[in-house]
Amino acid sequence: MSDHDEATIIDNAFRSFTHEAAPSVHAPEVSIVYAAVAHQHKVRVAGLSVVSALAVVLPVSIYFGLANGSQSPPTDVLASASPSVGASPSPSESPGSRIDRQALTGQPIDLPGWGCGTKNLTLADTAGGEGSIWVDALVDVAGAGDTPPMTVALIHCQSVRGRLSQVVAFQQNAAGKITSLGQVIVTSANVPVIQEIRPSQAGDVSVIVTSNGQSQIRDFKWNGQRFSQISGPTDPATPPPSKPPQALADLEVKLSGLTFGPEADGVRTGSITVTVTNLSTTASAGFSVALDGDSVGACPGCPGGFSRLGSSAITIEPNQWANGAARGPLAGGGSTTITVSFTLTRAHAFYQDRNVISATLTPSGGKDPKGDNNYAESDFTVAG
Amino acid sequence: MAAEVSVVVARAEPFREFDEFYAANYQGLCLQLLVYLGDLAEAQDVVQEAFCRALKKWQQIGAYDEPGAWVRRVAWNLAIHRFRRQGTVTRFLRRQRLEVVPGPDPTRVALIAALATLPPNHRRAVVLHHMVQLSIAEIAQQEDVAEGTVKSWLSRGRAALAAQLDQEA
Repeated sequence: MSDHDEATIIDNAFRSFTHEAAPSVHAPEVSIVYAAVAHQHKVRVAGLSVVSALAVVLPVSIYFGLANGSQSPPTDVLASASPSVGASPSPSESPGSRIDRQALTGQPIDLPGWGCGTKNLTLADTAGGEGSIWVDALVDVAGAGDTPPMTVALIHCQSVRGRLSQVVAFQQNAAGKITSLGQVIVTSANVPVIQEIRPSQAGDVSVIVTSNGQSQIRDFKWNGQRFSQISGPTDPATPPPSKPPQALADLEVKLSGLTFGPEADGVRTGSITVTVTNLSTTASAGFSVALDGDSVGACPGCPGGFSRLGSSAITIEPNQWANGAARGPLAGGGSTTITVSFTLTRAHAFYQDRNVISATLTPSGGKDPKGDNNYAESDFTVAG
Repeated sequence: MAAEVSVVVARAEPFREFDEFYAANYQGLCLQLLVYLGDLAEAQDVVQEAFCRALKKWQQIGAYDEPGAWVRRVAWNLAIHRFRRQGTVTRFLRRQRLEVVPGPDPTRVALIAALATLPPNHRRAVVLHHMVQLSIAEIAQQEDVAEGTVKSWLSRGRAALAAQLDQEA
């Protein structure tokens, strides 16, 4: 078969595949991606919360480690917080009890402006689809000095543009009517994700925001008229500096032959040696090596006639090499070797015409000037 | 005296661009990974994980000339390194994704089955060249290998695949 014929057959097959498969592959709502990223931040921040509590017990600092360069409390910048128009409590209102989730979701509420609805809203208790507005978390602020008793809420909405969030302070009068005292912080270009709120050691409420993949703690305090930021960064986190380029080193991966011992209970075990050598005189970047097993050729007992040597048929130990875990760097001229064992079950493709173990080396910190020795194959057979 | 900081209420422009970028690129990328991995759920996992990583760095990625190339490379790297389902985000994504997947079509099964017999490097070269329409140089760049290596993978992979597809037909 000529190259042209091969290309024609393959192009036609891919064209048919795309035509047939495309209608069944739909992009899920982009809000899922936003929610997943927010979820990821939430998991990370939750883990850090434990450390934060320890830091209070051990009086070191309450501004630590959540973001690069975020530890210095600013002294000359106030936050964006300002009360919503018409939302200030009237002199006739007197503080009521703390506002719980049931009360906040149980009556019509007006919110400060934020790109979603603001008037006569019924807040949901849990996240919903597009158009929904829900309460995420509440923090009670005890009244003292200039600070009236209030409850601060983190509220989200799911808009056509993705998730928007704001932190709002509420007060409840003696009749149970809840009104907004103003906005603490809202989603903006400088605050792409509002992740969490919690009681503040420095002020009245701490807001965890994330930007550029980093979390920041911003502390706010009621100044008698509105919430002002009293500590924490006011600008988005600085993207982490890019790593300096690694020296280019030529790495080579080689595989020994693979041999198997006798079959026992339908299982054969063999081993292969993987050697990575730095052929250059300079140290290499880090690297990973992924091992894979494939079978080439007809498989009479397999559905469709062909079978890949899948995870059900093969076990590769140690797994950190099989999964491509990072290794290195290697000094110039240095090498490293590991013996990897393979366990094969009888039922699959290793009795076929050609079985291949491949090793793919991927430099993690820089390019390899000679890529063709980053891949090695070793054929093997197993007698039936 | 401290200064007030003004507030922009609406979602910033870069995030609107991300939404459009996601809508325009998701399906094509998912089809590529489907034919490579042979499993729609696994393809969706790696594609969505790649878009999550893009969103987290979107201010940087969105400024690239070809943000799609960045996401494609991340998704393929995830696929190559056997990205699995144990991750927290992946579990979260799977809970969100309620999708009915129709049964296999004969055309799809034949192509995926034939591709599955190729060594992974050959399979990637064939998919990236014939489906994604990448040039030899572009594949070499994505795979971090020499162009000669890609030519070798492509030649061997194409011959094996064509023979099997011809046999099926």
